[in-house]
Amino acid sequence: MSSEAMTLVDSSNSGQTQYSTFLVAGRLYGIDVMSVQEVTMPMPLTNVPLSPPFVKGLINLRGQISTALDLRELLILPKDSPDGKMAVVCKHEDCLVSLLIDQICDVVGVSNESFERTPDTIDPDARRFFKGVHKLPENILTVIDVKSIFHSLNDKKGN
Amino acid sequence: MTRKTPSPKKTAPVKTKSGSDADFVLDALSKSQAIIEFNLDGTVLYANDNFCQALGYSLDDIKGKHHRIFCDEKYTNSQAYKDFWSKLNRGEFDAGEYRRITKTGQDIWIQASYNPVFDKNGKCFKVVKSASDVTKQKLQTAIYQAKVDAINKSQAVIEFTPDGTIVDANDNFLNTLGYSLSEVKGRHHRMFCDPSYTSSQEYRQFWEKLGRGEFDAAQYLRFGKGGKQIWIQASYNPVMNPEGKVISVIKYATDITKEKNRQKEVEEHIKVFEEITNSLSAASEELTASATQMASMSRQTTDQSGTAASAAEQVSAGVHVVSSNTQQMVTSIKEIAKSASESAEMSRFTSGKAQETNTTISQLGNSSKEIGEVIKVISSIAQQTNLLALNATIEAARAADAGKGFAVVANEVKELAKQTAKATQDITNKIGAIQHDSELAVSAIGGITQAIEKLNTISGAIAASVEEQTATTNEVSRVVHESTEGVQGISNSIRLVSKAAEESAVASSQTLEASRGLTTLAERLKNQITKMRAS
Repeated sequence: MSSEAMTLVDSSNSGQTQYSTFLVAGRLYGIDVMSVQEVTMPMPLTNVPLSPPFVKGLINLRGQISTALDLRELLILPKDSPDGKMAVVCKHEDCLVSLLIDQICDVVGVSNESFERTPDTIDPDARRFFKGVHKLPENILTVIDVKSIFHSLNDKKGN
Repeated sequence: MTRKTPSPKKTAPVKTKSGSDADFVLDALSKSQAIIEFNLDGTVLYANDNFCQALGYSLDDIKGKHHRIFCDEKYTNSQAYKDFWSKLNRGEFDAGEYRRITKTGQDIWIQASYNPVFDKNGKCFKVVKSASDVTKQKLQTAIYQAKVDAINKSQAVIEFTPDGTIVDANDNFLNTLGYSLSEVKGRHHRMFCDPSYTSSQEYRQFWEKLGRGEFDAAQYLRFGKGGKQIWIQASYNPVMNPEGKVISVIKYATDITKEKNRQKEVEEHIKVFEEITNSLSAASEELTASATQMASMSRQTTDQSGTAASAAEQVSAGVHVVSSNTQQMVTSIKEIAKSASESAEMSRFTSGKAQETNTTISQLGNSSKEIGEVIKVISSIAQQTNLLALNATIEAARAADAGKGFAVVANEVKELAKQTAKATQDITNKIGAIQHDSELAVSAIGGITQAIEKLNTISGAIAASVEEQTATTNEVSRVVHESTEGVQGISNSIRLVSKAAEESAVASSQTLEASRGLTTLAERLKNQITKMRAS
């Protein structure tokens, strides 16, 4: 999957990757556009009983069910109300997840040269969802690994 | 007093010429005396020159003639004449004053003594008469006698010894005092006087004075029989013998009781008169003083009323000024009232306007809120457009090269959405500012409204005050108007007072003159009374 994605980035813009960027708890995060289906306005959440804390409910997205995940829970960030938040919808193997974010930003193309590994000092529980970071001129863009989120979701399901 | 005083001289009988001594005596006598000798039958034997000259005869004319040629026929025919010669023939002498007739038939008075002359045998053989012409003396005496008689007729006469013992008194005197002569004769003068007077030193001195021969004349109070009070005007005349010794005091008196009483009455009248005159004098002096005072007071009144008049004029002028000022004030107050009412009207109007403005601004607030709502919709639309564009961008990115053109369009759309969002944000901000401003405006207008309400209240108060002031000023104006009339009245009154005072001054000066005249009259009257008293 990752190779495929990288390829896409590479092919689309030589040495550049396009990220859909957003803010959670005041920090800039980005997801490779290839993993993103769409960005949605805040949607009504349907609670899922006995679900993990990061699962905030289910969203009916034009007839398709998507699981709403709280990035604050996943990325171990200060908690916040999950209601009324925009969502970045990602698709993996016909499975849809909606990542609840504070604010959507632009789709930006970032040079791969600025890419670095995630620092080891980050909490491993959070770090496992990060691909790495881009040093931008004024900011740090943390790249979220969607696959690992799906995996962890499956793990949890499996558990 | 004495009717006849017997001559003390030449009573000695004349001797015949045979005796030498006797002859000398006879010669001596013959020089000064008229001497005639008669027979016993009365024929003239001899007469000396003195006799002849006295009767205007020559010796020859009368020698051998009878004594009766010298006498009044009436007398010679009388028994008295016969008796006279019979007496002489008897050898008795006769002496006295005799009335005889001269050759020319004129009366002559002689002081004579008819002396029978005796011979050696003691037989009377002739009569020698020595005489002196006393016609003058006789006439004088007669005059005196007449005077004395006249006095005796009219006057009360009394004679005292020098020690005051009564010797004689005439009928006038006795009648006046109511005594008979026997009742007073030999008694003392003091019986006619008040005992308190007679025992006094003065009375003693009175008699001493008379005793010294000094005369005293005055009005005396004497008492008649039964204590009757009698006023006499009297003179006490000491009578002195040739040696100057007082031998008698004769008093002539006139009963002046009636006069005295009348005088007393007159004096009483005068006294009353004097009192009246004094009263008159005092009254006229008082009148003079009063008139003077009145004159000065009326002068003062005139002065004062002049001052008052000018003061009243000043007051009048002042009141006029006050009046006109008050009228101006009334006008001003009317203007103020008008202005205040206009102000009240204005503030009401302004208040209304402010409320309208408030409403308008509230509406503006509401409108801007509504705009805000619309802007929210637009913002939401812009957000959705942005999201849409974002999704398009994502889609385009996933489409790789094929989506490149689409990506540009999506980017453009995203830019527009961003600009829209920015514009709506600006609008939102602006509307917020408008809303804030309009809130401020509303509160400011609230303040304005409150201020205007206060202003309204104040102008209401001003209007009320002005109304009150107007009433007061009208009252003042009315009072001032009345004052003007009053002051005019005062001024007129003062003028009247001044006029009256002037008239009073004239009257008082006339009074003064009159009272001065009166004083002069009183003074003259007094003088007259004094003179009357003195007289």
